[in-house]
Amino acid sequence: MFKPEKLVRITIQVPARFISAVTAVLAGFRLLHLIRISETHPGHWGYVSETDVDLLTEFDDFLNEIESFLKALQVPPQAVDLNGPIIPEKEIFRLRERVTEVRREVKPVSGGLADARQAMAGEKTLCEKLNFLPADIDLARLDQCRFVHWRIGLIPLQGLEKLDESLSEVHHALIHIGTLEQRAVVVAFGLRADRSVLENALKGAFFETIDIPGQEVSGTVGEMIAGIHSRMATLNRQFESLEQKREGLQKKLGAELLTLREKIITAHNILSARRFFGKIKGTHVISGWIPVRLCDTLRKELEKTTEGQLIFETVSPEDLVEVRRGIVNIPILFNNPLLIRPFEKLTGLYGTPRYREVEPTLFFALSFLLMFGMMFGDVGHGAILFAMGYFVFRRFYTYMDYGIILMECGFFAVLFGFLYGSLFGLEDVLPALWFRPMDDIPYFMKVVLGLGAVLVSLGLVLNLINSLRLKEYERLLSASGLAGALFYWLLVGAGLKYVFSGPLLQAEWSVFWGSAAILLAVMIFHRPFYRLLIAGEPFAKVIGEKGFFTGIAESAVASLDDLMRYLTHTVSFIRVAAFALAHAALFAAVFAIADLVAHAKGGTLFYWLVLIIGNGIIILLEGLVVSIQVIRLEYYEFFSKFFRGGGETFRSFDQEIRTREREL
Amino acid sequence: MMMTGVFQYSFAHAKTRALRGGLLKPEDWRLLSRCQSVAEVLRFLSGTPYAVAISRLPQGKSDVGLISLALYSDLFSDYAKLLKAVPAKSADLLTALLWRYDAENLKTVLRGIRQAEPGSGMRFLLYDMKRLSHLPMTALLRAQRIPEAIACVRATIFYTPLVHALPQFKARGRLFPLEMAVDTATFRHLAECVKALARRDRKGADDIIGELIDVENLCWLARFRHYYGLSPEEIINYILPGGRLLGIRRLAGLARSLDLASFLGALPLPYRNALASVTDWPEISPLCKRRFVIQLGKVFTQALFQIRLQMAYLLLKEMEIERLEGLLSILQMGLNMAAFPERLAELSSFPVRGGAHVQA
Repeated sequence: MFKPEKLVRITIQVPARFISAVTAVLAGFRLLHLIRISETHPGHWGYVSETDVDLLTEFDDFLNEIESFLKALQVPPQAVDLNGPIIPEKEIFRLRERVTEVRREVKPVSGGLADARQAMAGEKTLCEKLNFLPADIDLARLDQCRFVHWRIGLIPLQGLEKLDESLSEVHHALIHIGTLEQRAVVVAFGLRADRSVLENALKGAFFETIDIPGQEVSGTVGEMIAGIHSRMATLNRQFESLEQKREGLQKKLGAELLTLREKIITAHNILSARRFFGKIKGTHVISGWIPVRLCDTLRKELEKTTEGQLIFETVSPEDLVEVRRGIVNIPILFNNPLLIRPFEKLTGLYGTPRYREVEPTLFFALSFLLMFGMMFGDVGHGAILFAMGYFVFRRFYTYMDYGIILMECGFFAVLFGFLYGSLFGLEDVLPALWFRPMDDIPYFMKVVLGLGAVLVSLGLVLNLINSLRLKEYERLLSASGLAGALFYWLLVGAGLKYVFSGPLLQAEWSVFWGSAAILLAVMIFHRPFYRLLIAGEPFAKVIGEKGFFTGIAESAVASLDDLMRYLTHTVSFIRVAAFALAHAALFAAVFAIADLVAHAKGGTLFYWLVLIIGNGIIILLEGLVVSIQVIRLEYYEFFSKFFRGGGETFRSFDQEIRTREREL
Repeated sequence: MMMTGVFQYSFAHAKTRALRGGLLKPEDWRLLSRCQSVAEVLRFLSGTPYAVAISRLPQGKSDVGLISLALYSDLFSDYAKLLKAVPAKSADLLTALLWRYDAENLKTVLRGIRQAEPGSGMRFLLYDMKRLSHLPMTALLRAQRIPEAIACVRATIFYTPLVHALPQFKARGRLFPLEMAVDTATFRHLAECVKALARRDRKGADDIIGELIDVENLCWLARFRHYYGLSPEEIINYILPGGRLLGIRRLAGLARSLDLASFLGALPLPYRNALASVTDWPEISPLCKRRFVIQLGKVFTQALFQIRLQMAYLLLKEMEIERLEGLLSILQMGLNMAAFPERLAELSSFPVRGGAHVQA
């Protein structure tokens, strides 16, 4: 939990004929962080494997086609389990056969549905346009006019004035009979002799003729509309029959199509993965990081697949020169329990810890929930947050992590609600199991200052562990190391003594000042001390070095800065109490407003309305503010003490391939 | 009112004045007209505020298209600076001026799709507006067909006019109706943004946009009537409303004029004077633009704490880049500026740097 998953670097050499099978096994394992051979020395020398681009393209085409079938048949998404490894070179043949058969079944239905939809949309649009015309106009009779040329259609509304002006020198009539989607429905009349003028003007006005198919221009507009309705009814019947067929096909082929899609994606990933591999003559080289616990299983699986014809090497990170020199980063695979795992994202937002650093997600999660609960303590609000989290958790698969975080925050808010005795701001319903924040503010301040001192101290301890693990021994003597931590604890001890048993005695003051002076001296002179006592450099060299006194001055300023930061960061935790009090004060404000409106006409309704809306606003607004404040305390006051960062996130096999695809 | 303007525009005013100091001076134009090659022009421009844009050109590339896009990128950086400096409503108007470049980019993409050009090829022909662009360029460059491209610009001012022009495009099989729809939408949006301005800014901005629309209308009339051979009835429908001196009726009369003399005779007096020396249709456009530049120059001597100052500067810079493009094209064709005495005169008398240098 406090350390990332222990990893080992594997290098696999396998004959070319087994590469598909081996990749399929690796894809099945997923927890393999591939090393791009192209970015290593052999890669730079050109020993990089290539993939079958044609085959990859064929899989892409099939994927698009299957996606279109799934969309046409409206198949709902579902998780699919694949049995056995996928060998792309073989799978493609099965896929070709099966897709041809599916296509034969699906195409007529999907095509028929699309045609029916298009025809219905066309008829509907025509009907909408014709609806603007008087029902008794007989368009066929208008066509027979000997001297009059006429057109019916749509033009943009802004163009009407210009159209009129452009026709001003010929006899014409423009009848604006309605408006459809920001366009005017117009009937334009002119003399047959001026036909070209009318046509040119309409062309410039972006005129769209209402297109009435030749055979349908018979009878009055009313009769034409009736004809359209009858055709629409026929189309509807056709559509319904096709819909029934679609539903049948959905039941029959849905599961198979989802499996086919999954197989194509896996095959595609396997082919893409080869770009990460190296190739020397007939042998492929695969390298990556894998959890130690999976190493033996993977080896056995691969030996079985290749009938023992492979070289499987493992190297622990400690034995790698590149790792020791800091050239290669070991990826970090978090290893937290289910309830803590969602907080990994929040840790990741600050940075990725290095392999040897303490993995702080557990501390982050616990302190986050504790502080959230303290600031947002209310049984009712906590329950609502929990319910919201549960809703997100069940309904939105992609945001499941946030659902868990919300549920946990809700739980802690309920817990502190019981401790504070608060239910939707009502403080006379539940007994306070601990204390009521508004009744004892000074006590609350002391509590949060204590919490601040504990979290800052925890940060300092984690920093010492990190310094030891990363062998930063010189840092231990500085203000940001053991010396600084001891000084801080000295101050905290003196503070506690003052709070619990009054001012320090004369002897205690002597010890305090003596220890403080020694620690300050160590902090300021830590660099020369280290060089003289640990590194064993000669005194004359250390003292006589250019910039020695500047270094001491800088060290003094840096030490003072660090110590001040420890104190201010501790005081900063007062915001926990401040926001808890703000939470209670907001309740008071809501109740005051509710009481005011209660005396108006229909007051009871308004009273409850104000309470409900007020509580809603408090949950949303206060919830957001409290979350931001807690994250700030975590990142700025806690993480800044020990977190180094700069590590590389572990990317599983399929994640890495997706990234690569995007890069290409 | 005046005090409000001073408060709102003091920074923008100072910024515009500073930027205007970077415009090429008449002496610069005189020297530029002596350049013998594109490389010489580039060398000269490297000593001007265009240096940054020129330095971004790929090494050894002297294609006029690329150079002109680089020069425009300098204009866009000025737009970005001034957009931050002016009040929100006025910024909308400057943004509306920028839509004209989006319109050009959109037309280029539509032409590319029509000619089945790949998106990767088209990318290098587009104005590099970066964040100032309103177009979903990645999606547009992926579009294979015109209706698909139109669907991509659903969230822009171009969508409805393009949808309305689509039937004409299908009926005539030419991009022209779509291009006209894009242009008219741009200028209509400009006119709407002027109407939305605060009263203090509206009059000055209306004058500039009115002049701009007048110039566009006159150039279009000449082009449509005498290059494209369109009928007057069709041309009248393409007229942009909102001109300062030229209303729809007057423009309709101009569209129906049979020859150059009757065309010039039907113009209002200010334009008749400005175009007095015209002997052929191609001369109309440069002279109209020259008149426009003079009008823009006058803005710098009038009420200053208004958006029209920023508009005038940006339009002046645009005209300057147009001139530079013309100069570069002539040189790239291997022709000598001396062979074009009228262009030479035009270049060296280009009225820039505000009213102080304007000679009507």
